[in-house]
Amino acid sequence: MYRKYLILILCPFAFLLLFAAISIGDEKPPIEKKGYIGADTCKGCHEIQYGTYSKTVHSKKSVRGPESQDACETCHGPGAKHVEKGGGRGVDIFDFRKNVDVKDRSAKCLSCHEETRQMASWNMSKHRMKGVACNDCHVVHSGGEKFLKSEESELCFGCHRDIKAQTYKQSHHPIKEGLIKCSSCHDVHGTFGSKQIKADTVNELCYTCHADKRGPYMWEHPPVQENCLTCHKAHGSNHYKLLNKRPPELCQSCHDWTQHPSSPYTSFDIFSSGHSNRMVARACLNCHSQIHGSNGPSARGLHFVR
Amino acid sequence: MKTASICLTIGLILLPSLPVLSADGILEGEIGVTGMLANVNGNKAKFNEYRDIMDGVYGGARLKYDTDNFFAKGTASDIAYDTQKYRVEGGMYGKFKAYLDYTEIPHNFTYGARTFYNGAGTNSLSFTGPASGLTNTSTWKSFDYDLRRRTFGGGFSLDVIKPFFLDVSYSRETKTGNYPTGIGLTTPGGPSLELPQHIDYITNTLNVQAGYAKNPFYAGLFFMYQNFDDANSALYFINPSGPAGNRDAYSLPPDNQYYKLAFKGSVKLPLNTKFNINLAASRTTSEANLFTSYVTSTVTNIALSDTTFNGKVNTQNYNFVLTSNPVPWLIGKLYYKYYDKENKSDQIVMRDPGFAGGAPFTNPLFDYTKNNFGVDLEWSLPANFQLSTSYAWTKINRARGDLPETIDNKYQADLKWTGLDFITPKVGYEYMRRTADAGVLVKEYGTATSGDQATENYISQFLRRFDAAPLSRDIFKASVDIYPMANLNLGFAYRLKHDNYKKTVLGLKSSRSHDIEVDAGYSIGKIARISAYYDLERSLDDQVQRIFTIASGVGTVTNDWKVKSRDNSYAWGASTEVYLVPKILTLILQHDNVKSNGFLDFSYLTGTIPAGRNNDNIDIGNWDDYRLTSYIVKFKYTPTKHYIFTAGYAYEHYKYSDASFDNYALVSGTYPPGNSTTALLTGAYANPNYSSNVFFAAVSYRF
Repeated sequence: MYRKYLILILCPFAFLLLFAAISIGDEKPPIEKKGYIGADTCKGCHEIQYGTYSKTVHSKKSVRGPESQDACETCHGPGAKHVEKGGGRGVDIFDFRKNVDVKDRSAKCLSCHEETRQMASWNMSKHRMKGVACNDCHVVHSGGEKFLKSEESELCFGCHRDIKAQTYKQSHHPIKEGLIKCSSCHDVHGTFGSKQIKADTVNELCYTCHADKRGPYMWEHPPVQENCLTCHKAHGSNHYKLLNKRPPELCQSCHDWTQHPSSPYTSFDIFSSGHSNRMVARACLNCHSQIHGSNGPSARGLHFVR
Repeated sequence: MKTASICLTIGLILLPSLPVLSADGILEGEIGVTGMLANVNGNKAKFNEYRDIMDGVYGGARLKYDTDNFFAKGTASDIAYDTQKYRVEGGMYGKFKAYLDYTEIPHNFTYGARTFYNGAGTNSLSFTGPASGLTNTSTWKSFDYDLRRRTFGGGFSLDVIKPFFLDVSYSRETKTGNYPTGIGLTTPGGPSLELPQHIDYITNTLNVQAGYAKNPFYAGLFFMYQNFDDANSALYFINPSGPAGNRDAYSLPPDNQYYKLAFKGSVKLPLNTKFNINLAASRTTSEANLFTSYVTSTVTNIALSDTTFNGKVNTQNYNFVLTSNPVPWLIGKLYYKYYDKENKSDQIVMRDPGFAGGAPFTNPLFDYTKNNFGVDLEWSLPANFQLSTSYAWTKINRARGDLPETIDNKYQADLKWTGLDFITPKVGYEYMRRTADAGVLVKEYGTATSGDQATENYISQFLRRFDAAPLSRDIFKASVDIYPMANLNLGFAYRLKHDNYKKTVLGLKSSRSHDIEVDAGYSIGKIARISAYYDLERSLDDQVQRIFTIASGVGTVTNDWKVKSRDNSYAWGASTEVYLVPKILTLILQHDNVKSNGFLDFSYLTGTIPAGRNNDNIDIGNWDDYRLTSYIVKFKYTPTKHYIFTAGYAYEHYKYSDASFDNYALVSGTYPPGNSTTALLTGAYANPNYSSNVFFAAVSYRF
């Protein structure tokens, strides 16, 4: 059994050896800098931009960032030719407009930020693959929280319109109320998990807040153990508890072979007519409320009713 | 008292930063108060589901002190309300950062729920007098279903050791309140009883991350420990169907401990290539004392091989990812993932005279293993076309008798064109085919046999659990973003998803959804900005079911029936900002609607239809139907850069109609005697309709 865990030890070790091999002789010769004019010259024409920049962390000399290098020209490139030609948007100067290549724009930011834990998985990010540049979401002159262009969820919803619609449904995680954010569950800069979630599996992510569902229980409900999204939606649903469908239909998608799970619960089973306890109020969950797992005794636990 | 404690804590935290204030630095911030007058008619819990809006004064502040070397920040919002939030943060640029925060998240379900039990809000529920007298709801006691999460946390990160890093964070969350739960009182098919489950959880979480990040290498070790502590191991109650003086018990989530250790690394290789690995292992343990009896109409004692259940689940996760951008026109990603969940929990042997004739049986353990590999390719094609293609293969092996194995093959292609500045169209298609091994049961039992287990085996040939059934999935996507003018943007998106469970005879056979999204934004110079949106989501599910009654003989069909579920969701709205006096006075108007309309179309297919019913009168026309409408009118006045005044009015109306909740009754059916129609309820989620009028005025001072 312990052979399974060998990979945990051997792989990092092999990885370190690989790194050592690649790192040897990795020193690059210094690049001669030409055409740099200094921030004071930039400020002469771009006073507003310089003013906003100077209020941000990028302007701190104690940070290994633009100010400790070539200030404005760290990101925009040498400005001598730009000045010689009398300025103008994009004239012999690097700017971050949409028509500038995405990779070039992101490369400016990554020259510093790539060597951080936060950006270590950027190469795996769906956003990177789909051609999203850093400055599509961040604006370095704003100085707002994480330099975001707007409030986080609104920013994400700008592209993910379908998710926005889901969060407005009657059953939802409190995203529109501002109590949790997209980044509570997702890392937009890339992860190993699918949908850029901050965990290896969906359940692992859900359990970080819903630890009571983790068990391990004596009586387990296999679909629950495998994937919370079998029954729930992550962002919002018309049905309570963020369910994909309402019980009894949801439960009957699997349980229907005999006895009461297989019966149709119709307009003849509601409060005003027939009032079956498998249909009114929370339907199946009126009795089978331990659907996430139970330590109840015998068949009480097996059927998730204790 | 708690608010005072929080303020004191924050003050103590900020105290050490006072010497820093003497340095040359900039102090900036904002202090604001908001007065609110809220009038809510109807269900206040639904109105305030995740909010705490009431008559009162709301305060908030934001402070930041910044020097070239140090910074200190503090924020507070909704002080003393159920949504209050505080955070203090400080550090030295390029050296370290530390923070402390406190947040509260309310989740209100139902105020004024009612039960005949004494002790709601504890883990012991009791009543006096005969069970037959419990249906007099006028004597029932009132309580609220609501939960409060209160999280206190802190952490620090060291930058001074770059290229090494160290991040440590800790949080402690308490979750308290009442939550609706329920039980079956007697045997399956008996009456149901809704109970207030008292929640009293504490979750401690520690995260430690340490590693090295410098090109071409990244390596990090990640450790997570989470300890979940439930103050109650059981909810004890008198079972009204049981003998006098009984004490029944409902098991509550057990305490658990979760450990996870992961190594994540990447290394840059030639040709703009990077290799990434993630190796993780986790262990979860729990312990529960098991009940040795349960109550139905009598008390039944169970013989257990062990009265303590030790839960233990180990997982392993390995990811290997190679990304490459070898030529400017191609980005590639090749990946493999292995995930294994191994359940090492105790298997308890039980002998229950009330089940399976007292024959021994044990709890089965569920494990599964997942293998997944795939490739994603992004092609930059001539004429400004961008093509995304991907393929993924996933195999899941389950320790589950009926559906032990599924294999998914997924293909995807998206095409985007950026040839013109003012329009960006996209189209996409995804196809997934899932094959499933229908399980050993079908192989072993291909013909009708008699007996309980044998019958299940027989019918299993026809049943397909939808989460692991053979499936073919088609997804079509199309969208276009148009910018005909610099001040106008239009967006349109359509998505069709169709799941076809081709081999399913009984169960969910198909699921289809259409999504349409339209939005637009228009700026009228410096006068106004207008935006609007419309979203339509329509889903259709098809289920075929069979009542397979053992008593009628194996293979005999009593009734086949089907249901088509239709759910239409709409969201639409518009907002405008009118700059009455540019940069000084702005009028904001907003109107939003969310609406859902569900319908269940039942059809009896075979067998005897109960008297009085036919295929036209059994349908359900209101299935989670609701409409939420809101209007906001707001004026924002900024006479100077220091002051912002805001005043306005918000109206919200929520109307809900559902066949399962309309005409709600706390006692449904006849009690006693208990049968499948009887439900003793508490009002959870009932009558959620409300309308609200909220007037608000706020002033904030910036410096």
